[in-house]
Amino acid sequence: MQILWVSYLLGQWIVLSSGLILLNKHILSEAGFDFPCTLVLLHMLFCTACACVWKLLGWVSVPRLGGPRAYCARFVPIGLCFAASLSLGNAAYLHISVAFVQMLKASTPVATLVVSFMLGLEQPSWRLTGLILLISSGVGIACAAQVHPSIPGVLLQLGAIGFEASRLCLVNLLLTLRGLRLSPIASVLLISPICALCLLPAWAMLEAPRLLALGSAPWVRVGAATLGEGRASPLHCMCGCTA
Amino acid sequence: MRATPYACMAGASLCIAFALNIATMALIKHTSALTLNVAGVGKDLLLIGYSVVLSGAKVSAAQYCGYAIAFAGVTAYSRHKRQLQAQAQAQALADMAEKPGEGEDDEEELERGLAAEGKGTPDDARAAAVRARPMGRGIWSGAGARTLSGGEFADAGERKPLLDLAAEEEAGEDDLDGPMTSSSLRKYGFT
Repeated sequence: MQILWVSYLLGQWIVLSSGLILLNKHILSEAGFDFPCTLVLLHMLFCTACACVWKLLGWVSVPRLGGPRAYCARFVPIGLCFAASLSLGNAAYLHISVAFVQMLKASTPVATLVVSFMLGLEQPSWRLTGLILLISSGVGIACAAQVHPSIPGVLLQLGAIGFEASRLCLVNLLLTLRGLRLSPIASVLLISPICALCLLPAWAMLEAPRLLALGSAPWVRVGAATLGEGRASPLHCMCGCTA
Repeated sequence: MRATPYACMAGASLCIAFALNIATMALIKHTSALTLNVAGVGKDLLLIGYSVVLSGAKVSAAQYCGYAIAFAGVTAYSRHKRQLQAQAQAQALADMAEKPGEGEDDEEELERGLAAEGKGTPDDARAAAVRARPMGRGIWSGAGARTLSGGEFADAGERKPLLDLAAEEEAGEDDLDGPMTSSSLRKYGFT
């Protein structure tokens, strides 16, 4: 019974996480909605709304934060890195395939180790250096042997990995090492609003004009759909997704 | 009009993203960080396979070789990390056994509200436990991390308490505040 339950949870997680990647790739690349920043912004707003509902229903507890200043000091850097990493990662889908993105992502440990060394979270050692060289040479070969070389795609994805690594280290430095652990929903509740705020200027500069130039109808409809779902209960969303 | 399909797809994507949050929470609760790591690897390979076989991504033989090398490196790194954690955990337990009940209250003021549960626990053990925590499965594969707003799950792995001590702390943390009221939501700028 336990085995069945765990395999169900595993299967569900794998289906949802790969489904999300493939769907985003489809929206951005095949369907031609080339607004990576807009997509991240919508996600952040929607997730904030859902997490707020979750919180109001009392299904998730958020630890005390010690005032708005402490909150900002902890979460603004993390939110910034998160926003940058998601937007750059989405933008990369416009240029390169999901398979190649996954190969590039293998270099995340390298980036995280380098940032950890810089922040003093980890001490360099021969063993770690060897592993860094091994992973980066592998990823280097994969890059050099691209079938349809795309330098912007690779650079965007590497940028995303860099920000992601910084985010992981900052989470370690600002939250974990200070004894603050958050459940996924609590992190969404605390980080998504900041993330959305950080994204707004970039979105307004880079994508809003282009989006508005498309005519107001698409934007209004996407917005309306989002707001409509934002008001619906999270349970309803879950059913909508799993159905 | 292309707007309606866009709105539908975006809506689906948003729902999946939030459902993924819940799925991750459930997975962490019922299994371990290691399970999440393994699931992440499985997902990466699955995605590469899907992308190549079904959506026609072009991948050269040399690229597969490169990825295999990187994969070996990442696996070795993960094993190294797990060994370190096991050592740190054993050390923390040993320290705890040696000097139970000693604690230092030198938290910064900023910390007080957050880490009140840390008081009265052996600080060394706590620090070791913190050190013992993995950097998250994001380090491993970056898999969950790269999904939209699935992002926070990257560090989900590190939230699985390694010690009972840590679990107690977490429970204490949960008791600290009741359901967040709308006024406190407003205070933190969520409304």
